[in-house]
Amino acid sequence: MSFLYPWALALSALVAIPLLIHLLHRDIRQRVSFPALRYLQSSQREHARSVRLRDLLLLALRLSLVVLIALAAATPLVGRGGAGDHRPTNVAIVLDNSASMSRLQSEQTLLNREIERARSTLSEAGPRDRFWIIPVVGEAVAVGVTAPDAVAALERVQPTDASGNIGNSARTAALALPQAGDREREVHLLTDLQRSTFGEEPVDGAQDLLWIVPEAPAAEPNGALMGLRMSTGTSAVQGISPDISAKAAWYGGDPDTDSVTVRLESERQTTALALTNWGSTALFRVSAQSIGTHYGKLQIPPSGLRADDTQFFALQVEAAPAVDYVGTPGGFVEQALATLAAAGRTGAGVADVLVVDGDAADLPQPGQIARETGEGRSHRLVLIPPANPLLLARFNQWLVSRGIQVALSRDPSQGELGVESPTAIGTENEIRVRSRFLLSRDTGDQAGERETLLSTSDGSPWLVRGRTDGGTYVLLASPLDSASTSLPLSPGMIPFVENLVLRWSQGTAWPGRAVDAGTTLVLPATADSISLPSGEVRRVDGGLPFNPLRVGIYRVHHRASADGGTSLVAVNVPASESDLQPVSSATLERLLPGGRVVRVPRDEAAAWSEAIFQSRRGADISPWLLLAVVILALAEAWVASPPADSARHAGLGTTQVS
Amino acid sequence: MIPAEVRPQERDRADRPDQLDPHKLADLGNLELVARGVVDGFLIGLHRSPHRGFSVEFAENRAYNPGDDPRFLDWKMYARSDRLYIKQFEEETNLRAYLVLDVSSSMAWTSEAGRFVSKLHYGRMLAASLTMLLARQGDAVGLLAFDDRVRLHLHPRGSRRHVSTVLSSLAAIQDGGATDAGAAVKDVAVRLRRRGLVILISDLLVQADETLRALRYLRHRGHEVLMLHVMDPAELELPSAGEAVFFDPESGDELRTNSAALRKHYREAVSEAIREWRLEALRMGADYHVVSTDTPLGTALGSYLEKRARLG
Repeated sequence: MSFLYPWALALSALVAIPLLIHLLHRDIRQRVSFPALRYLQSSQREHARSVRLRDLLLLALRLSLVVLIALAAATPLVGRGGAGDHRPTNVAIVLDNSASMSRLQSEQTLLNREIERARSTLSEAGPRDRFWIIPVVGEAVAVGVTAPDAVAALERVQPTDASGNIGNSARTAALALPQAGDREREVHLLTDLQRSTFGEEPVDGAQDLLWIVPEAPAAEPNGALMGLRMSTGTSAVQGISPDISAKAAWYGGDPDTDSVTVRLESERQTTALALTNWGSTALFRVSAQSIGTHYGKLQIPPSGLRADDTQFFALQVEAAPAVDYVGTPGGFVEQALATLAAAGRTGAGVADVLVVDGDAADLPQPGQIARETGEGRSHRLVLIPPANPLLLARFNQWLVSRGIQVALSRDPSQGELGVESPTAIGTENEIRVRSRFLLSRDTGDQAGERETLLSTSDGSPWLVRGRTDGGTYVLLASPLDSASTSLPLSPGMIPFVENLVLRWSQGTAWPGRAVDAGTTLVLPATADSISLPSGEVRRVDGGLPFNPLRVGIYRVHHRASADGGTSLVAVNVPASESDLQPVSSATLERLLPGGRVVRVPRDEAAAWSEAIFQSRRGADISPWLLLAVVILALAEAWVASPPADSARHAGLGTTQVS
Repeated sequence: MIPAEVRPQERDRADRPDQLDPHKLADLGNLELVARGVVDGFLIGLHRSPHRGFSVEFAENRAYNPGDDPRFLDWKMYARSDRLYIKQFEEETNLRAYLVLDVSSSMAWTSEAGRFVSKLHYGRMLAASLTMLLARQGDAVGLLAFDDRVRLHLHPRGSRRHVSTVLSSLAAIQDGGATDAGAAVKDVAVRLRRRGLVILISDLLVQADETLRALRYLRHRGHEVLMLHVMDPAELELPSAGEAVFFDPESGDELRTNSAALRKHYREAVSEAIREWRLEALRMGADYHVVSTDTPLGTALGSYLEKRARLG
């Protein structure tokens, strides 16, 4: 029981008044002359006991009256009352719409169940309550709105296949709820409490809030595919078969079988099956014979979370580019290019790629490049600095004449350096750099478009890519001879040159890899619309961010004036969503330091209704107390001076001579 | 103020002194005036004369005048003096009444001085009215006032002078001390040689046994007894004093109690006492009436008239 106005209980001190009156009456100072005392004495003798009882009853009634009046004034509230009877409350509903919430429970997704829970909360809200609805993935859909508006806002919460960060959302909720007057503040964490989505950082401001959290659903084992990789990235040269791999992972206890069958579907046709152990990677080599966009998926039998049983991929197959070489005949580079041409990795005809060696007797002039790469066509330049230091100045001048705002200078330091991430360039052999040039910082208009593809171990750029008016270029910081690097004499030379001419010089095909749902992509400038996996086509503006939230293949359509046609983006469930194990209570309380955490059984609607709006007031029993006061007052009046018995009075024959 | 719609008879009745509130009546004048007004009003209300059955007693002779009734000629005087004399007779009462008035200190009490007269003053007015009424009927009236002893005694007589003496004595009498009604009544029995009517006006806050014994003695001697039990309204209905110490001004006894708590039981006790007095009166052949000090005197006189009618 609580009191709305507890200070009014002080009125109960007034019980002293009837007590004092009662005690003072023991010292009676009023004296009444009364000749007929004999009748009074006989009455007193005969009814002393009842008179005493009456006195005590009167005292009890009067004390009770004072206490009841004080209680009624204090407005006692008994029990917790209905959920709708509570002080104005600010409620932040953190709604987990991440991929793990798409699990089914009783033929309903966890997300839908939590949305129903939120609706039940809103149905019990009062007109002065305000709500913030914060999806874990995405922006808040309601900020300080009334319950009816919050109900409408719930419709805007959509399921996603992205990964959420409950900790961040809880932090947002703590910051969002204003502390105003006597308003209560509650945060309803409607989530499956997935451990991997909580993070490690405690939530600031948690101590001032009441956190009401449903218990986690039953722990569920889950098999998943994750970490899709394509050896060629999202683009491949016709005739080269890229490798596609994904890891089969199992969470939650031991799987029924040690291995799992991974099925490769390419454009709706099962093309391959692979049996792999849980925890191992399944590898498929796909054929890229036809030029164009291709897509497919790797899939395992369904278990636990369904969305992570599939990994989508997309592939852009292009014709092998024709490569022309301007440089020292018989050098390592020319031999490597000849090898690639012999293997069909490069094509013939008008050159798509022009490899320029700084040691060439004559560096190609602009008109020559246009002739070699075709008039009006964009060209790709692979630029290798001269091994002869005396030719460095000429090379720099040539770069400037080509609009490439990079100047090479000699590196005075001695010793070998390594190159970062050699596996990224297609060879597992270590690349050692014995001699190099320092690449000056770029100050030209196109400085922002230059990117470092490889660096030496001291952090200096070793391979950069940039754009010119005529196309793209890649520039090495070392000559490709045995004196400058270890490459020419290593097995990595051919793959390195292949990468130079086929991949790096072209630039990364957008987006370059399969992405996780929820990853923000910057659309190509030529993007015009996107076909979503659901079939919906959405108009977009090129160059702006785009956030794919569902898994599948997204088709980015480019403007007709551009030559890109359509790009494919494969979107998969983030690996962090596959581990469905819930966070422990101890961890939850550690992440919400000082916060009052109320855990509610997940499937008991009544328990949830009981838990929310903790500031609810109990039933106001003051009207009943006032009724009791009236009854007691009447009783007191009756006991104090009972109404005359008219019949008996008449029998006395008092005022008339009988 | 009498409402206009009251019928003439009722208006007349309301204007009559015998029907006035005793407290207002006391303001009309001295006791004799009050008594005369009460009796006059009372007799008007009876519509017929109460005078009956006179006997005669010789008083004096006077010279005969023509036209005098020859039956009253005094032939003995004529024989002695040879002159005609007419015998004149004094009216003689056929009743000797004794008014026995309690003047003890308890009689001087009133519960509300501005509203009710004291029992003593009421008894005085009642006694005076009875005196006047008895005198009008030719009865002899005696007076005995007592507290714990006889304070005043006037032998019954029927003359007008005596009536004046009784009235003035009543007006002058003051309240006394304790009560001994038994002794007073016995004293009356001793003094009253001829059979008569004894009217006891008292609050009966007395030793009941002794008083009743004396009254029985009176009855044994052949006297008629009329007991007028005068009570203040607050003695019938206990006053609302709450918690208080009640004390008897006559005996000095005290009782601490709550009037509200005892009112019901008190009323029962008073009722029982009245019932006892009435029963005892009935047993001894006496008449008993309770008269409240807010009762018009005419009503009380009615009780006497009822008794007088039975006496013939």
